Amino acid sequence: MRVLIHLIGCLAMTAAATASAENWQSTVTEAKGQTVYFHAWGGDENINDYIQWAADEVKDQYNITVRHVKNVAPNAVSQVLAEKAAGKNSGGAVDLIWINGENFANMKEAGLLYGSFTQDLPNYQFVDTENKPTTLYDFTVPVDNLEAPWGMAQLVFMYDSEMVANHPNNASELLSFAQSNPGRFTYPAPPAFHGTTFIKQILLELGNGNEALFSPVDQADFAAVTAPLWRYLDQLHPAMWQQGKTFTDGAPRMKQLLNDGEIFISLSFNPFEASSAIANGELPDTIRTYIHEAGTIGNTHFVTIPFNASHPEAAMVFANFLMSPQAQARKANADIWGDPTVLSMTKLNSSDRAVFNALPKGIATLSNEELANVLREPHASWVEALEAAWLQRYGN
Amino acid sequence: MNTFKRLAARGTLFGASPWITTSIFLIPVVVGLLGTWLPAFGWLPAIDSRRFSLAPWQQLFAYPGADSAIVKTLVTGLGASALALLITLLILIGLYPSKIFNQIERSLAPLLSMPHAAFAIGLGLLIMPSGWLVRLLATFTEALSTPPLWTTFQDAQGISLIFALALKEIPFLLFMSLAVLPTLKAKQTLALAGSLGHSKRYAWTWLLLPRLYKQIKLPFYAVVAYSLTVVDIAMIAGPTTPPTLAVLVNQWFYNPDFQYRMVGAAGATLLLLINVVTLLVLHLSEKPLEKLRTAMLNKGAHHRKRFHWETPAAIVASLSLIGLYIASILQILFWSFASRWRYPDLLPEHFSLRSWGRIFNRIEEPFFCSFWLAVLSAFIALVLTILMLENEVRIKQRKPGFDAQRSVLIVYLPLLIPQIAFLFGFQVFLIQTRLDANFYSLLWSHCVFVIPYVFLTLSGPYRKFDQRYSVAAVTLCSCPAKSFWKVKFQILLRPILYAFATGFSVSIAQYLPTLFVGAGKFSTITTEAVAMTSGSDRRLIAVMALWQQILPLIIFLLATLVPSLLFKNRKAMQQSSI
Repeated sequence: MRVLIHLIGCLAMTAAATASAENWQSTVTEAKGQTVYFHAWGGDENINDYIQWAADEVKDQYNITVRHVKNVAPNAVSQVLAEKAAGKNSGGAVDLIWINGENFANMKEAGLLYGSFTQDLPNYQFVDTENKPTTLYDFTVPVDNLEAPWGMAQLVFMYDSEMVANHPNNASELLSFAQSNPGRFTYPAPPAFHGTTFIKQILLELGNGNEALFSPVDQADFAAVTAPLWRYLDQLHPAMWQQGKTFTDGAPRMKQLLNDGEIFISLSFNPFEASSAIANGELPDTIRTYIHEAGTIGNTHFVTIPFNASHPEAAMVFANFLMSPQAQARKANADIWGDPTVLSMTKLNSSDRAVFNALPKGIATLSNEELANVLREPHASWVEALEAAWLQRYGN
Repeated sequence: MNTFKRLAARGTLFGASPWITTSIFLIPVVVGLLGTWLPAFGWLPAIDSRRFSLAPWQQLFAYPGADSAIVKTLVTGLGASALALLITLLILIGLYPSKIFNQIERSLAPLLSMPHAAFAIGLGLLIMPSGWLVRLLATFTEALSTPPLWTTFQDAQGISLIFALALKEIPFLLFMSLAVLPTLKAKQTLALAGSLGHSKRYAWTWLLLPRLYKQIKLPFYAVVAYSLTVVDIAMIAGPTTPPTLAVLVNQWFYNPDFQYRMVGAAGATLLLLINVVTLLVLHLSEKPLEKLRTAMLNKGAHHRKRFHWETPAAIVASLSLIGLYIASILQILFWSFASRWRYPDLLPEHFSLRSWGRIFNRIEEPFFCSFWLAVLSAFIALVLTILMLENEVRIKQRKPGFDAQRSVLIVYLPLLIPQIAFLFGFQVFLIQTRLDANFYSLLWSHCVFVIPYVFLTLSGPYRKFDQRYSVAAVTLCSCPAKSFWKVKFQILLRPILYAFATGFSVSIAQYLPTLFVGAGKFSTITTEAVAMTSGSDRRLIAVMALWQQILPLIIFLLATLVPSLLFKNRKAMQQSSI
């Protein structure tokens, strides 16, 4: 039914749109009976359940079978790379990958991607490309329609309100918090994703929007630009969990430590995570979230199709379904997953918009207004330089 | 006539067995090693790198913390292996043979079947600053209302990693020793030494241990290699800045920047080198030690100390070992039924079946996939191993000086190198030959890692088997097959079943081969468990850890129970403590 509505919507537009609608119809027909091997991180049962639901839906609506391979992006990329090395240019094992950032940039550069496809997906028109620029620039790398936006992310801090009366509001308050509560804050060691994001966040805050951060790193005076960051971390580390001698390997481990009471402040890339963790008992109901007053880094996560996917048509139909108002609204529900939508409320019809507005937010989620302050990512080339410099200083 | 045909067929099968095993092995090993070594020297066509260079090595050694990571690898790997061996020997000296020892023997199956990562997680939940032991303390004092700022787990020196590894390896070494103790005639030796006025310690140290070590040498080498290359336990219990070399190699392979794969390959090659050199040093130190032993023995015995500290020490060691395991398993068990559980509560706030329920409807397919892979790979490995060992017996009859051990060294190669490096090359090969992503290739890859363990578990006792039993049996029935099944197989049933159980659990634990060779098309309990472990929900991690343990537990229990039941009315074969 929904397909039909979209189809009618498309037909009402220009001749070009008619052609693309016909193309889409043939893609849908082609996709019938195909199987999509969807490689996606499987560490969160809420997300696994959601993917299972989406798989059941596309089975009903399009007769497509989706198999969730619980695999991290680097392994999936490795599979594609191995297939390229072996000259397997079609019939690949991976049809769709949950991806963003460096993994996407490297696949793009190495020519491991299927090609532009999102412009043909009927639901792409609802994506908020205007107000959510990270749907077009993945870690500053142009997306070029090579990956379909799936969800939004923004760095938020989770804290235990029972232990922390007044949460920090910026980097320097975070430092004073750590110094007056030794051992109660930590961040994952770069190159773990959340760790790298944390140091980028601090750098952006301390650099006061230094424009050099948004150009390639080799054009900047790296030492001068990053000097405040290292001064800051030199002070922060001795006051951190395990005196900064041991780091966690990622945000999931920090969430456990927050529940254990070993740390009082943790990080998340999902503004809803605290609420949904409280709802399922993973965190106590005293956990709340905050962001720094200068704003926090935000980005988008995507799904993409490898160059040699066995069933690119079915992968496209599934990617399109994941972007549909129905699927996005369910995903944004904090009781189900709680992953912010990539869609624009103004582009939706009133009934779809009503569904979004009626969603439970959860007790620990900030309001849209509070979250509105999103910082741009530094230029992608900064990531590796920062990670290398961090390891040089603290990695041995 | 029929018998003749069978015999002839058997003869060729024996002769062919090393070749079958070798080819099962050689292809993945050669392909895997090439796939590791070529990129280590800059050759990786997959990313358009086609010039040999030492750049990956320069990058490796220039990587921040690389030297410290190498030191940590050696300290933790060797420390853990040595500790595991010492405690194993202590328990043997102090308690074998005794009623307590029989109890320990009976408790080995559950200890062995506990997945490595699950044990490390359970141990962490016990000894972390917010762990159960501190919570226990917190019930007595107000001072611990929040978790103390102690370092008890994941310390930068790697002490908690050494303990976690050693604790996981002691049951394996004990298990391996049990299989060979009967062939050492330990009880008789102890009795004889005692009748000559020597203490138990003297008999063990100078008479039994050197022979026992020879028998469990290969399992011990496997322990060393495992401890040097382990990734999962090192990530859970090990230091982080820098981690051990194996963890670094893993990080390099997961780095989105493809260039790091070559650094990873160089790191894997270095780890192989470290392994080979370590094992070589161990091997070469045997002869001087043996000479020393002879010299000491010739000097005669001195009994100055009459206090037998070994027995109380062994009791303490084995009780703490079993206690820690029980406590770790309980941690996992409680978490699997917890709905919410925070510091400083000793027990979860509420219990619930929710986590079990969430996993239950997804478990069937991975469960059976794991089961069939494990049964088939352990069975194939067992058959090939027995054929190869029988072939050795036949060669030895013709050439008495034949050194069997050296001829099968290749079997152990896959244990010496990090899987992640090894598997990429094998994966490319399978794709090239269009053998990827099917069940039989997956089974093949499991065999590559199962055969070494089955071989090293079985070869010790098998080679020690007194061939005169077989000769006598053949003389009586003139039928080699019958004599094998009725006599040799029965006498060796215990080690054979142990070997099968070990192979089975090794297959269950395989993660990367299942993912790489199966191209993500097969999910097993372990791929599901590892996926869960990458998340934060301890309750679901616990449920998966328990699912992972169930199959090996059943098989290990059968391996220990079946011989005892079967030989109920044969006194000499009831216990391994003959």
